[in-house]
Amino acid sequence: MAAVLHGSAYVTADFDFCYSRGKENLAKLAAAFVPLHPSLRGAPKNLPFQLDATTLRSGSNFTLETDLGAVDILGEVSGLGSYEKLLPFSEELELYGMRCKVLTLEGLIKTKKASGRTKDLMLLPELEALLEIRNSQKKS
Amino acid sequence: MKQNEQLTPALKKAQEEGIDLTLLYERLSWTPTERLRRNYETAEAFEQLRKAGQRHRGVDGR
Repeated sequence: MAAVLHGSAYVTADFDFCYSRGKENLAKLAAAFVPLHPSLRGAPKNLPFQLDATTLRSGSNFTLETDLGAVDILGEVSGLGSYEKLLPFSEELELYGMRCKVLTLEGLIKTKKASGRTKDLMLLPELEALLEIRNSQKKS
Repeated sequence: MKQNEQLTPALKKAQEEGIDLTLLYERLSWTPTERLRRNYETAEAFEQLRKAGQRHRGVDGR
């Protein structure tokens, strides 16, 4: 979704969030998901799952199905690392009147290259073009 | 949309690789919220098409 926010023409249906693994934040994150009824995406419906601070602490990256659709929450991002390490690769954008931290184009390119997956590598020419446009607009 | 002679070498290369720069310039003229909203609308339209296709082929999706 960060690519879309930076102007990518690819269409995506899922949200990826990177979260801080600090104790207080785990509790806040779990509480924020309660009204969205999260379940593990692709897991059997009868598999018991509760997204609480303990679950978050014992794992890192979770792929979830929620009332809002597919949401992935990531304790670590390929090629960049933890939330704290991502901060220098983030910028604030206004979305629906709120300031939200979003991965920069440079950060996106770094993580897509690091993941090495075909679907991520396919995005690179477009992301690099967007970066070039942005840089040339800054110069002019 | 910029003319080819105005494009930087990197953008010419992107165009040769199949990137439609007109789509990128169009999106860059929108606010981030608008980019998100339009992505959602397109994803929703794709989902409706997918479901219509499934109905057309039968519930098992064959």
